[in-house]
Order: sequence, then structure tokens, then C-alpha cells
Amino acid sequence: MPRVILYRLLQLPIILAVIYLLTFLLAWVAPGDPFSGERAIDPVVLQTLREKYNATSPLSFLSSYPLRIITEGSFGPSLFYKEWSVNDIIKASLPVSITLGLFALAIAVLVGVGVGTLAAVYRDGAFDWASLSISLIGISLPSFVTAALLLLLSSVPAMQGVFAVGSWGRPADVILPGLALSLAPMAYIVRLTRASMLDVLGSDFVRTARAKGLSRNIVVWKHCLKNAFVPVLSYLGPAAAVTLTGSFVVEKVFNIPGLGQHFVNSVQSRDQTLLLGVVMVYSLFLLVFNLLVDIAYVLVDPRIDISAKGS
Amino acid sequence: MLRLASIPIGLMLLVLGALFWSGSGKARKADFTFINRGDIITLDLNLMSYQQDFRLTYAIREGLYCPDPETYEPIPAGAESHEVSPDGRVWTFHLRKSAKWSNGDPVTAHDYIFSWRRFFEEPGEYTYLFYYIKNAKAYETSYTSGEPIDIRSVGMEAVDDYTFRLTLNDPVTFLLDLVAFPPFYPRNERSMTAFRDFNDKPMMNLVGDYLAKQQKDIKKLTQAEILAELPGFAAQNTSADTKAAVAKMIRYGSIKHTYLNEYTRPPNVVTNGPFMLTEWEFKRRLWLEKSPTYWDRDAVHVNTIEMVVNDNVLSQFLQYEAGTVDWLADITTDLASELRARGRTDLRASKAFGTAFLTLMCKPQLPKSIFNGAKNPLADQRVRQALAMSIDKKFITERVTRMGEEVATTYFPPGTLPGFETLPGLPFDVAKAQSLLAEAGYPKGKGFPALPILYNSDNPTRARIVQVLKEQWKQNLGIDVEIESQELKIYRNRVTEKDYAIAMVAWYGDYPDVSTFTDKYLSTSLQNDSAWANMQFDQLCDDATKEADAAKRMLILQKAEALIDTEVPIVPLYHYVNCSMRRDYVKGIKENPRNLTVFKGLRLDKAGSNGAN
Repeated sequence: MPRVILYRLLQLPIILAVIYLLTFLLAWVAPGDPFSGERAIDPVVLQTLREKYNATSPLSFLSSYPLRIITEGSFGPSLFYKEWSVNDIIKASLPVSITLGLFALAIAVLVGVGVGTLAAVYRDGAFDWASLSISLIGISLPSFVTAALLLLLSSVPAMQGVFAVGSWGRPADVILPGLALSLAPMAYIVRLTRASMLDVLGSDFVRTARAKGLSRNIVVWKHCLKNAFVPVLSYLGPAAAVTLTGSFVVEKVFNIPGLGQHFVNSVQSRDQTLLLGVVMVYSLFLLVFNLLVDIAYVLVDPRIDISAKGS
Repeated sequence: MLRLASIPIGLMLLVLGALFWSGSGKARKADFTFINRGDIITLDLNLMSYQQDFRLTYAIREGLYCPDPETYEPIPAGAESHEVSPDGRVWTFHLRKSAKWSNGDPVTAHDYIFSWRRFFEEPGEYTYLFYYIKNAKAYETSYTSGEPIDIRSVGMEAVDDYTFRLTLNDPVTFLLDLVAFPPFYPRNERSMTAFRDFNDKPMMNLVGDYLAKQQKDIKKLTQAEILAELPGFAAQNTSADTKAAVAKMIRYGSIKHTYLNEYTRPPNVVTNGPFMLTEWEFKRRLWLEKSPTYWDRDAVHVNTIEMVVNDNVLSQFLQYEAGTVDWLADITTDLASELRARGRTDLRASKAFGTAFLTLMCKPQLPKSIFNGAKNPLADQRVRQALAMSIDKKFITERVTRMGEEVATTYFPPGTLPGFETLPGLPFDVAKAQSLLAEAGYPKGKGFPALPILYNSDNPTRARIVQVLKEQWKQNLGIDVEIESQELKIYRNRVTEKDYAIAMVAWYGDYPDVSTFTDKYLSTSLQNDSAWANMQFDQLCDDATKEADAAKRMLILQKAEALIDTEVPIVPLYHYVNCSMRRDYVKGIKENPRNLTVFKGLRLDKAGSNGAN
């Protein structure tokens, strides 16, 4: 396994470089540029700005910025928020998104796995019904609807002191947006867990264990869960990357200064450096989490062999 | 089971830890909290163009003259007094000796020259305002080409540290309003030297080494001081190329450089206004504190101001409702019309210095993308007039925008500039419109092509208005238009590149004079999206520039404005209304057409906490 991990780590920079190039090409092709404001811009002014930011042509951009990533670890200045470098922006907003994402994932996993398992164990019972409702609501309701509903909840007079609107920094601030963000992953996890748990519960070793006299709780929670968790794990890899780098909708509705808004804003303002910066962060998260998930497979189920040659 | 429980507990601890790591630190309440229009885009005077940036600049910086907190007329600020020569071309400003920067340095005439020079050497959006100054345009063009003329030939001169003399090309009757506008504010060069970025880095590194040997830090010297050291540098054993480059710099008196925008961020930023910017947390808040070095600090009644950054319209309103914010500087008409219907007393609305209008393509051929460049029916003035006279604008302001906006028959908003009156434009007259259209060759709309009408997709009000227009033109003239919505940047590109037939646009005035509206439609103007060219209009505007008598000038401009309103290269729809939410105890912020905020006059009349001096 160490060889597999090493191999994957070596692939990382190559994949990131390809992503960078493709994103840059797409960004360059899009009409519009970051320097035009609300009125027609004087060509002299435009040229001045382009020279200042090394954005006169694709070649000038590519010859200065990627090198700075490697030598200085800096993505350069944001072309739209000219006072701030992309690193500053990411440093300010990534921790916020990570916090929110961690909370949302924690709820999603705990509630999702719990409800899913109980749904499988008490099949056709109250929990099964609950799991079906959660999945339907979580998958069908768009996140901006749930976010807006929760936002309205916070402005109810009785709740006003508890949930401050639009602020960030106190422990209570993470609850509502976290809930809004967790619903969709929770829905998937409930269904995944239920399905795979049903599968595992039907296997022979479970019957043996129960026949041996082991309590149902120990059988389900200690033995079956580990086996049933594998599909959830494979979903968690990309889900973690997505959730931790911020959701545009939830952050916009709750006015959270996270990274999600920059994905959309940088495209709308054609801010190429910021766009590349956030895409790189997102790609890095995605690749690292997928690697972590693959490693976790082995820990969870030693029968799995993730070496590259295995089929 | 305990091992299992350790997972959720561990996760929760992680989350709490992360929350503290990303939290916004100290929770303190400022004397005055407000939400600006959105986020600050930039505080660099050269690059500033958004209204929220200007609003904050009025709090932290000041110019020769500044808007009065009550009347918004320009009153002495950085300058104590001024004199004008009889022909109106030479203005001498006497600077206030007690005016200081936030780091204690005195504000001198050199600071103004430095800041204004930056506009020529690094052209920005408002560089065109400086063209009134003698030789300013010549200097800018020559500097860009690499062979600048002598900076001292430009009409701005520091007679001494506290006397600033301006020589203009033509008499500019509204100069005091211009110098009260942020692009004309001074900047402190020495505080910015650490952020200077030379164009010729290799050579300036050598200069830096040379200076270091003499115990001088190049990052702390002004451009003038470096130029003084250059002969000594060149006299050393340097290559012929370097000697030539240095000789060039000395001859032109300038070393090409730019400034990294970080100079506008605390703690490095040095300003001269009533407040100082002490903290700037990206996308969260800006924190202002009363400046202890400001010359008029006794007149500033508030100690701390917090600007909360909130881009989301609904979230902004909820924050205001929750009571954490004293003033919501701008709200959308959608929200405002709802609140107005509910009779909210803290909703403030006032006529704005801006107009919503349709811009019409006046070129003889349509752009290539529309019917392959066919003949343009809008090139005929009668067609444009027909379009203008067949719109029931009252319907739009009463049913769509619903904020009590004034219907517009003129491009310039009437009543927003004392001393200027607009002549009435085209009325709503369907019969006349139909006969004009018939005269132009499209009786009852037959044969009229279905032109596209363009707007930006993120504006729901415009989406509704174009629907109404389509309906009204169909009903009143019998013509069809196709509705086309585009994303904001693409829409702007299309309009500025004149790749449209009809588009919904807006224009706000920058400074209190008619020229901020009329200059847009000069045949030579970059902003003339209609490609309308009327020699008589150009001549009138030129005459107005040369007219020294203010009243006569207004009459000339009235004629020019009337040309726009009768030949209708643009169809004015309505004049905007500025809407904001302000609590009753917030005093000193008076709603005004240009949406100016003079923070110096801010007072909070809460019982007890009045903001001590």
C-alpha cells in the first residue's frame, strides 16, 4: 500500500497542472474581462490595467502566474478585488467554509448513518418511514429553499437573540447554515446506509453471531456497521471536498464570508487569478480526499485491495 | 460503544475549534453601524468607480473642497480659500495649514500634485476629468508613449507648500464641485513608497543597492529624492545602456512605476479625512475611527463607525430588522416598493441624479449580428420619436417600479441642479407616434423588423419593463420586438461595442453639472453608445466649455439637452429614486440626488449615547 500512496501523490501535481491549464483556457475564452466597469472603458486605461496585472495576453499571463505558484506559493493579486491577493482571500474564507462544512458533514454522517441503520434494522417501521422522508426532502428541496426557510426561522422574535442574522463568529452562527447544508448529503447517506445495511444484515455471519447469543445492538453497531460503511465512504470523499469548500447558495443566503461565493463571483467578474486559485483549492481537496477515502477503505474493510494492479 | 461515541465527540470538538479559528475575533459595537451598497471593490483613488467605494472615501479622505453636510454645496476643506482670475482660467487655492495626515504629516500642495500626476501616469476611469487642466492630456499621451513633456508645463503648480495654483484650458464654472470629488483628493507619497513597483526592476535593483551602500533605503525615498541620487549612481562604473536609461529618467523627471494596491489597507494607509480606516476584514467589515489629527475634529460627533459587508439583498434587510444595523444605505426598488406599500416610516426615498432609459442604435446599418447588418430603421429620427411617444411611462412607474419615480421626458433629471432647467421633451401621444411611423415608411408597423431589445438578466425590474414595452409597442404601433437577456458582463460588452439595436440602460451623474450627462453624447465620446452624431450638439457643448458666465452657460446647455430630448438617440423612461432605510435617531445623513454621504455631519440622537467629542 505505501507504493500505491506514493504513486497517487506523484500524480497529484500533474493532475493539478492539467486542471489549471484547462480552467485557464476556459476562462480566457469567455467574453468579457475583469477590468471593465459600469461604463465604457478607455482603451488606454484598459491597456494600463492589463500591463499592471500581466494580463495583456494569454502568454503573458501564463508566463508569470504559474511560476509564482511554484516559487512563491502565491496565486497573485485578485484582478477584481485589487487590494487583496488571492492567497489573502483564500486564507480569510477557507477556514470559514471548512468550519461550516465540517459541521454539516458531521450532522449528515451521524444522523444519516444512524437513521439509515435503524431504518434497515426496523424495516417498515417508524424509522424506515423517517428515513424515506428525510431522503425525499433532502434530495428534492433545493438548498436555497431550505436555507431561506431557516433564515426566516432565525428572524422569528423568540429566536432573535439566539441566531444572529448574517453574522459569523459565535458558535450559534454555525447551526442554521450547517443544517441547511447538511440536508442533501444526509439524504444520500441515509439511503446508502439503509441499502448496504440490509445487504449486510442478510449475510451468514450475522446469523451466526445472533445464534451465538450476541446482543442485537453489538452485532449491528459493532460488526455490521463497518461492512455497511464502505459505500458511504466512497460517497464521502467527493462530498467532503464539495462541502468543505463551501456552498455558494447557503453562504449567500446567510451572508457567510466563505469560499463558495468566490466560485461564482470570480466567474461573473472574470477574475482569472481568483478563479484559478479557488479551482486549484477545490481540486486539491478533491484529490486529497479521494486518496484518504481509498486509504480508509483498507482500514474499514481489510479485504479490499487498492493496489493499482488489482481489478 | 464508547469507541463509537468518541467519533461524534471528536467531530464536535473539531468543529468548535475550527469555529474559533475562523471566527471574527472581538465582538464590539461601533457608535454607528451601516451596510453599504455591497462590498468595497477598491479604495485606490485611481481605480475607484463604484458608488460604495466613493461613499467610504468621503469618510476617510478629503480634498481642497468638500460637500457641506447640510446643503451638499462645496465648502472649504483642505483649502481655506481660493481666488479666480477674471477670465476664469487661473485658480489659486490657499491650503489650510492645520490640515494633517493621519500620521501627523502636514497636507501640502505637493500631495495634490503627486496624486493628480498619478492619474496622468497611470490612466484611470476618471482621468478625463483632469483634461480641463492645461497640458494634462498632452502630458498623459506623451507619458504613455515614453517621451513625456515636462511635468512643470502641466497647469498645476505648488507656488509654495501651502499655495496651489491651477491653470485651465477653459473656464470651468463648476471646478469647486470637481475638486470635491474623490479623484481630485491628495495622497501622501511617502506612506506609499513601500508599495512602489518599478517598471524597470533590474535597473532599480541596482539603484537600490547603490543607495543601500550609502545607508539609504530606496523603499523610503520619494521619486524626487531618488531622481536626485541618480546622477551619483550613473557616475559609477555602469554600462552604457544603464547610463542612457538613467539620463532619460533625469531628463523627463520621472521613473515609470506603479503602486501595489495594498497601500490602501490598514495599517499602512495614510488618509486626511475625519475618520481613519483602522481595520479591514475582507468581506466582513471595515472599521473606522475618528481621526485625532483631523483639523476639524471638534465637529465630528461620532467616534467609531462599522461598515458591515453584506451582498445579499434579503440578508441585508433582515440584519437591519434585527436591529444590529443603523442604516441600510441602498435597497432595491423591489424591496422598497413592498415596504412603501406597508407604510414603513424608516424607508427614505429621494429623487436620484440618474435616469433609466433606452439607448437606440443610430447608425445607418444595424450591427452584423442583427439581421446581418441590414438597414437600420432606428437611423430615421421619426422612427425613434414614434417609439418614444408610444410608451405609457406612467404605467411603468405605477405598476412595475412603484416607487413614485418621476416619469422622464428628458435625459437630464429636472430639478436636481439649481440654476438649470430642462425644456419639456416628447409627450405621450399615440396618434402622433403612429403618424410619424407611417411617414417613415412603416404604416401601422407593416414591414418593421422585429428588433431585439437587450437587458441584463440579473435585473428583475428590467425584465418586467421590457415585457411592458413589448406589449405597448405592439398595441400602439403594431411592431414586434424580441426580448433578449444576457449576463451582466456580456450585456455591458454588447452595449459598449455598439452590438445592439435597443437596450435598457441607466446613467448617473458623477458631479453636479449638466456636462456629466451631455458629454456622454458628444460624437467623439467613448460613452456614446448610440453612435449619435449631431454637429450642432457638439458645437453647443464646445461653446458651453468656453463660456465664463455661469448663467449663459446654462442656457447653452439647455439648448444642447433639448437636442437630445427631441432627436431621441435615447428614450428616457423614468428618473431613479434612491431608497434607503434609516433609523430616526440617525441625523446628519440627508437623502440627496447624488447619494452623497458626508460622515462628518453624522450625529446619533439616541437618549444618552450621543457620541462624545
